[in-house]
Amino acid sequence: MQGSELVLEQVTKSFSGAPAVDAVSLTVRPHEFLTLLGPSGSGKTTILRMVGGFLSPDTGRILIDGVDVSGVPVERRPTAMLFQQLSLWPHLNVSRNVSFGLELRHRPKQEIARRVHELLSVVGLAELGSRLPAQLSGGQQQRVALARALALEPRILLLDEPFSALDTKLRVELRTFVRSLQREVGTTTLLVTHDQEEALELSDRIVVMRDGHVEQVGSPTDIYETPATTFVAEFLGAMNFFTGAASGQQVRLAGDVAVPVDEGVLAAGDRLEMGVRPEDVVLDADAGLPARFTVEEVTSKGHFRALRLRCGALDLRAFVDKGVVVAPGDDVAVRFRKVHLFGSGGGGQVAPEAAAERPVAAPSAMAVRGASGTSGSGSRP
Amino acid sequence: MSETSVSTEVAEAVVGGAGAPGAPAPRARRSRRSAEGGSRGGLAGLLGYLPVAFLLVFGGIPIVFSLLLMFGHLGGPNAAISELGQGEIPAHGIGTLGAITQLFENASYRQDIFATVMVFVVTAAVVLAIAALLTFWHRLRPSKPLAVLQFLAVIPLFIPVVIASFSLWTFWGDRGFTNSLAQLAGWSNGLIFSGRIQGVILAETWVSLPFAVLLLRAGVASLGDSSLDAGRDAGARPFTIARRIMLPQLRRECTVVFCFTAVGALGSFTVPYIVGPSSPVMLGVDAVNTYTAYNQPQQAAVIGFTIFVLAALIGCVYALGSRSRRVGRG
Ligand SMILES: Nc1ncnc2c1ncn2[C@@H]1O[C@H](COP(=O)(O)OP(=O)(O)OP(=O)(O)O)[C@@H](O)[C@H]1O
Ligand SMILES: [Mg+2]
Repeated sequence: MQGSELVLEQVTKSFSGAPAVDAVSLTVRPHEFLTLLGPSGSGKTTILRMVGGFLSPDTGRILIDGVDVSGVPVERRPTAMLFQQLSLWPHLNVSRNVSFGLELRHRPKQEIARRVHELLSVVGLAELGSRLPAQLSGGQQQRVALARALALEPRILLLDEPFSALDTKLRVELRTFVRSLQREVGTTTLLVTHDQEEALELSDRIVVMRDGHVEQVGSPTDIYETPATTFVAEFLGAMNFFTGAASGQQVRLAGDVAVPVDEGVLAAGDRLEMGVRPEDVVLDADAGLPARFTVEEVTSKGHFRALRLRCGALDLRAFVDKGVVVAPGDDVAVRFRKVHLFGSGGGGQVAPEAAAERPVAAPSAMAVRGASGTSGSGSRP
Repeated sequence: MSETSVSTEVAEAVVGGAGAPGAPAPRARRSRRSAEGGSRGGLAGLLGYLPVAFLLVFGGIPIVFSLLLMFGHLGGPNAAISELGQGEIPAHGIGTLGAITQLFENASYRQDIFATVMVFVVTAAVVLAIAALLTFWHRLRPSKPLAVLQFLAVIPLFIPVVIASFSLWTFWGDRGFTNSLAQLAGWSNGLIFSGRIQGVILAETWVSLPFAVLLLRAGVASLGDSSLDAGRDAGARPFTIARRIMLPQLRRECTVVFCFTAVGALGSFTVPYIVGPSSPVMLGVDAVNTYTAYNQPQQAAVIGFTIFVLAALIGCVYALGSRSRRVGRG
């Protein structure tokens, strides 16, 4: 098993004054599959490039297996990177692209040939060894680049959006392959992606990045079920947001809609942000919210249906089973299986701008409460 | 006046020689096809022929005349020039090789050829090496000093060759800066380059460097960052990356730099005339001397022809080096 521990300690990198990565601390355990997820420009590639040695941090340290690698040049780091841009060497054919690193390591000829064939078969390109990169499609080039990175037998594999140029079927195939290979070989892997599905499926843990800092780190389930901030909630999966005010054991939303929550969660008068995942919206005539919603739009998404509901000023997206029969214009009652509460400029101890992203409730406590339960609950931090 | 006319003729021969194996043939073919393509293509086709016609009239016809002169056909269009010239060897029948054998049997002419080949081969190699070193290195490890050097290397572009040649001649002369330094260090007459073939090489290098640096700088800039980064990632050190990743991708650019520098040095007149020794002389100077000082137009034509053959050889190198190979960048 080859897989190193990677530690980032307060790593900061600025480009012409603007921080691209801002005091990021992160520990990647040996053999772990960690995904960096975040919008464009959030510093994901910059982190990968610093780990690979292509950039050096302005401040902070990067440790591989406990050793500070700041003085170690790229060519001697135990890392291999798959670049976001296509980066095959245009003058070398596919096989030579893959074998380049092995040749530099002076491996025996037969071993190199065998290994190249093995790797190309794995990425499904065994037939194309003698082609030049210009004669391959974008997706094929990216697969060759993956084989080339794997050929280096790194202890840390850095993948910068490796699957983005592939069609859905290939993408799923290749990421399943990468995942199983990673399990088998145990290479510590850092994957950068925009694709939440990919992140949820592959990762042991996900790091959600925003504007150069880490917004949340956790297992896919953690991050999906208990997003720390509205940003994370929106970025991973969809979520409806409503501004409301606490009033007793209820959150009062616009249009006099009230959502009951557990006791002790809220202090009266708190302004807060309530989030509901569309799949947690249930059409239920019996035990719904007091208000009724009008169906505005029904869209089929294949295996489910997306609805747009409205109640006064409240706009609500809901994902329902494709068997549910509704049509635009219908009046329905809804309940929420689970809600997420985020602070919004409330309590005196938090400055308003910081409070905007503060969760009021520890969302793990917001369990589903029976069939008629409509509230989330939690405790105030 | 006549001096310049000979050197232009030489330059045209050089251009024809260098370009012949490469571009003109396919271009001519293409324009013929477009001329066939309907009535509207007619005018465009004619326009396409215009440069070819220009080349034939102002390049081709003089070449034919001087070939006739070389082989001893002194009449017809060459009548006026041979009337004034001396030492002519007239043709009997289809032509004579007399002027050619006369020159090639002369040891000092053979030395001139050797010196010329030396100068253009060494200059081209040195220029390519310096330009590649500066630009490749700067691409792999950008630094201030290298940026400054690259900037300095381009400056000669803006200094007229005549002025530069005189300055260099003074600089490297027996009372010049370099030799004064050598004298101070107790090395008497140790660093004199003026009036020597080495001086010609140095000066030609100085003159040719800007173009080479500009071209290779554009070349290395076109290489993708990630393709170089991937090389380092695979474990290659800068020198290996330069040799195995950059150089193969910039083969065309390097060929162009080598061949253009070589042809430039081969056809140059000012630099060897001012900086070079009186013997051996480079063929360009030789041709002008033979035409004007010795008043031997037929022998000058032979020298022009020799230059043409050498240029054609460089043209072959160019054709080989820039042979298209499916290389995709992007
Ligand atoms: N070499 C550079 N020079 C200047 N600014 C840079 C450089 N590299 C990155 N940046 C800036 O740093 C920030 C982070 O860039 P980075 O490439 O890490 O983003 P990313 O998260 O990988 O985005 P994407 O998903 O679009 O690839 C961006 O604002 C970018 O403009
Ligand atoms: Mg990126």
